[in-house]
Amino acid sequence: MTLADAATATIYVLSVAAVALGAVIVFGRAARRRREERRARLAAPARKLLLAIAAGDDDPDQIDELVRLPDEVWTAVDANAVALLNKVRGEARAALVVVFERRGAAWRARSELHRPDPVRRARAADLLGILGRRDAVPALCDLLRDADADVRVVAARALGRIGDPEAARPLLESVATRRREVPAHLAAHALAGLGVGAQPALVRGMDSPREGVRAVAAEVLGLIGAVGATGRIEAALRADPSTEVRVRAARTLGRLGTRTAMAPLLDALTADHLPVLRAEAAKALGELGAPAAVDALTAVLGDAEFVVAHEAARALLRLGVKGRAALTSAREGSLGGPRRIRTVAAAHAREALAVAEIDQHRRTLAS
Amino acid sequence: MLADWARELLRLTDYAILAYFVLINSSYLVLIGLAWLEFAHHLRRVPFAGHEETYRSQLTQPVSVLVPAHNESAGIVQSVQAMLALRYPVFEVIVIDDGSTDDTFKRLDEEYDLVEVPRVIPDSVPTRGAVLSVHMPRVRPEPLVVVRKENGGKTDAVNTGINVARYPLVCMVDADSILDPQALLSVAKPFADDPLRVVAAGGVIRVANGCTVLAGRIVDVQMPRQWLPRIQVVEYLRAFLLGRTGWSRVGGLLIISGAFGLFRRDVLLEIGGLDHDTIGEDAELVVRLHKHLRQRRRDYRVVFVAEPVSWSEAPSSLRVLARQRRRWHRGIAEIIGKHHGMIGRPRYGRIGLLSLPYYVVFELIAPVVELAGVVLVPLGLWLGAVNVPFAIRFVLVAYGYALLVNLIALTVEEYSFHRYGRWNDLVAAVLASVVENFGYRQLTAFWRVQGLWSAIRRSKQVWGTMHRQGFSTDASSAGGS
Repeated sequence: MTLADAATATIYVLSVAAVALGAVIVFGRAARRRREERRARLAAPARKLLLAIAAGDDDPDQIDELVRLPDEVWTAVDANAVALLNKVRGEARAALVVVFERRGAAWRARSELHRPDPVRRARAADLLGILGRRDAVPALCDLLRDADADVRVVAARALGRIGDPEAARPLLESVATRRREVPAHLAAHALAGLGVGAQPALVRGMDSPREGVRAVAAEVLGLIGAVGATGRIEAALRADPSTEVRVRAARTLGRLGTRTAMAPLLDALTADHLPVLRAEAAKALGELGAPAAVDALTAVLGDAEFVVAHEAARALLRLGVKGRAALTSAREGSLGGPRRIRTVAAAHAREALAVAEIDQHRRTLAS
Repeated sequence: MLADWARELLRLTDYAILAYFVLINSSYLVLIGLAWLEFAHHLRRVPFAGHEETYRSQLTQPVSVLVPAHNESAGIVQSVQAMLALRYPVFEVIVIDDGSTDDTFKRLDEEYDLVEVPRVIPDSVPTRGAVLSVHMPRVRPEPLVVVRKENGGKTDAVNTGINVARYPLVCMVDADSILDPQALLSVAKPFADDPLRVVAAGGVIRVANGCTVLAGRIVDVQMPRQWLPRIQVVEYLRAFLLGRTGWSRVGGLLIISGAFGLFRRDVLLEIGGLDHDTIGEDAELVVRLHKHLRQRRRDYRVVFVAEPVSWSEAPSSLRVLARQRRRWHRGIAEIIGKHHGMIGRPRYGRIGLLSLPYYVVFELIAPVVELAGVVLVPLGLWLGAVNVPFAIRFVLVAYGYALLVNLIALTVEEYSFHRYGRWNDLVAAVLASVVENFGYRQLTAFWRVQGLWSAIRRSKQVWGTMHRQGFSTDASSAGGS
């Protein structure tokens, strides 16, 4: 075959392929439209029923009607039903859960958890979480070590939704599983969903040899308001070898707002710590709202580290009259110390006070 | 004798050009294939993507959206409105008015009743133009910051924005961009799923011309009515959506458009922000990011998110298009010139061994070869080096293959995102795929060669102005339609 023959053959192949692709596009679009129209037609009556239930109408007849829907109709409306279940709360949610349960959705989802296809495993885990099935917790905990990253994430999310404290330890461990970990903040979000029941496992997590576990435990203790764990968190802020853990401990102490946190936070604010920890400590001191921290915060208003000075200024705004007075004084340049530091402190104070003034103006107009 | 030798050389050159056309289109085909795999993977997982959870979570990383603006008065208010309406738990929008000489700032001031705030701005990354003032809304609660600065170019504006940003993720968005409401949640998802490794994520840019914009949102997607933007729709689809998704799939993504990209701020600070002296500052940033992280042997990922998207107004005049393409190609040439040391070095992994060599062979010199084909095939014909049947086959194979690649791209779009729902849009897209080969490709090749030449000559960088018609606030078509 000569080059010219090859070129001619290529042209024929290209022409045929172009026509074939045109047909694939046209038929594909036509088929999709037909499918969508059919789905919309099938789903229309069922959607009305779903919306009525979501609006709070728990008429048993409507629930029965949804339960009796043929599978092809339910398939057409399934995605809408799951979306609604995700959005509604209270009795409407309970009624929708009944529909799913009576249609055997939970049973089917449980049987799907071990399918070879990761998408089916993830969808099943997602649905079990939405339905709040506590009996699925052990199986979902197993999925935290799944080979597929999405399945692990969905399993963690489902456990957070179900809210069974039994999942606390597996969730904590999932952040430090080599090669099959769950991203730390997704695990933390799920753990926060378990509420105070997770506190014992989280406090134990603070003693884990793994940095990731301690960091997540420290963060979540703040999110669930574990005031009883303050002592352990303060100890972490003072002595944990990991900066990441100490930063989260500082943030948690700010969230918990206990008085005893003041001393370790003031210590973390001093110049011999990393800026990221000092800034977090400054922020937490603002959240504590204790005027006793004013002097320490004022002292770092002119800090060379932007983030420390910035957070200190914002924190002072939250410390009442004394904090504002310190800012005003800094703005006027009345603080002691070298001129460079006074200039920096004045700039941060000016910004904080200006922003506070705008916030105040907005609040006044809103009230 | 000499004439025979010259004819033979010309004949061989024509064959080589044909082979090059086949190779470059085959490479597009491979990238489209990879993109298809990625889409199939992505679309099956959309139902449990967890955007709702991300939206509700207190632990979702906040984002600073940086909007550099220079003389963007036509659409700035609508763009900012749309950005402030994005669905994301905690974010701020920072508009950096880079010395506009029109009423960009005035428009924002009228809309948001701005008040000056004495913000302290750290010099974390280098900037050139001084900040004149910083403003925020006096009454409205939107998290908007407007920075007025001396003109210093887009790079300088973005770097200023990085300094002003308060959050750990920064999103760069063009002032004329319209983001889908879920765009921020989607582009931030890789950072949530793989927080330790993902350092940058790029979003898709599609052509807004012809679409209906309502309250700063694209509510109806249509093909533009003009041929120039129509061709760009197909081009963006092939090169931006499918090409970049393909590169992302193999871990070799080199370009994240400055029109829509999300970065970890701490990593941007490490590498000193955008480079003032490169015209393709967005792509250069990503290449430098790769270089920096590979040199330190850090485990990282740069990813591309195929959906949702950012919509941008494409040039609807040849003059503006010419300027854009000259600038883009000059950018590629400068980046490759600046980072040529990475090419072929195993130390830089797929970037050094695959992506950069590909960009040299199939991007940098592509317009030169394309123009050579336009000149040498007729020349060969004239000198008798090739005959008429060869010339016809040359054109049919080279452009027929390119057309086929476009059709495959349209097929992938039709079976994945199918954003263009009307039958006449489909017809327009197919026709645009054909028309692209007759005039458009050759013109853009010419402009790209000009860009390459200006990079070689190192002539003064000219940013140029993208004349925008802006987006209407009511339910009518976007500018340029």
